[in-house]
Amino acid sequence: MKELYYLLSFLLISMSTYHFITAINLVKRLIAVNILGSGVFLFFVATAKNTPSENPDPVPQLKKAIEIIKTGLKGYAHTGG
Amino acid sequence: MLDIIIGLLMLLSAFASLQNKDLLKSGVFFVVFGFMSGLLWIRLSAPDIAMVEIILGSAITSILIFKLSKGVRDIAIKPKLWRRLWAGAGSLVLFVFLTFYLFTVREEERVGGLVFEKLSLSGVESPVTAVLLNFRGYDTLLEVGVITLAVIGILALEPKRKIYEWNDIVVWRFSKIFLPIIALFSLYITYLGAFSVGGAFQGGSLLAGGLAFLSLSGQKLPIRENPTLFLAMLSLAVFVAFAFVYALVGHGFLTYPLELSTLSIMLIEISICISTGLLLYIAIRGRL
Repeated sequence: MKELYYLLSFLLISMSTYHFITAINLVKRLIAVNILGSGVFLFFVATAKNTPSENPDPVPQLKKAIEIIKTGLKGYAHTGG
Repeated sequence: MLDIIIGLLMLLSAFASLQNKDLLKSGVFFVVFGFMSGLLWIRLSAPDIAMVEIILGSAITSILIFKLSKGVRDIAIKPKLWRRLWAGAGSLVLFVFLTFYLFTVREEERVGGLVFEKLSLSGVESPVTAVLLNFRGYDTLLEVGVITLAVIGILALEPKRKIYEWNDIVVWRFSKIFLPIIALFSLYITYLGAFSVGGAFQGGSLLAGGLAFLSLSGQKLPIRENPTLFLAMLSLAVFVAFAFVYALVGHGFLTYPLELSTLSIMLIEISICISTGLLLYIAIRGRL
């Protein structure tokens, strides 16, 4: 069951990498980067959940919150001009 | 079972969003993708992240994407064959290499136990907030700096572009009625971060959602430009000030003394909430 989360994240990562390279439109590329980020964080969150203890590990979890803002804003700052 | 359905919908919407020729449609599918991933974070018992993802990942990033796709015409040129070939081969190799990780993955105790052990020393009760602002505060300081820098970049580039607004009476009335409630609720969520689910970035993104409605309706915050910029940069200033004051007093960089830690963390969190809201508002509006 837990392997499925990892598999989903790997699928998202490789799919969006392909589109990041081939996309000509910059907005398309921005969407691809955002989805790539979601895939990477799915990997982190699945890792956080993958412990024998009851509570998920908070350390991999925390990065995501800021990272969503960062991916969006940085990508926007690059394409916005 | 539910997880599998959510995961499949996530994959499908990501695929649709990436494959679609129409930029507006791929933006809409991106909203669906953000919402589905938010549901998946809840299933993976990470509600803090789910909050940010649903507010930011699906709402605010989509507003930015819609705003961008309005000016940009969708170019129908297909990429060259060799480029598609090496991109396909590269991502396939990437996928195969990543899949090897599945053979080594196993349940193990990571640093989480250490966090729960030292939680009483951090000044807050929520483990995520404790890691975010106390144990690894250094990271968060730099991240706040990155967000601020990104908005400075947007401010430098944007004023050539027209302000993106909908000029819709419904949006205007909605923002007029709900903005005070949203602002109050975002401060409440920020305060709640000390005990349970919530926190500075969650509250800040909620505030940004309210301000985004204000901006889309063609209104402006009733604050002048310099104070807006000052409030947007406030969190970085407060964070750096706390770090250096405690370093000069002799506790170490970003090491809070035990009796003052709750107060310091709350002050930093509230400043981050206000600043994140205003920074995203500036990003959506494109100017102060």
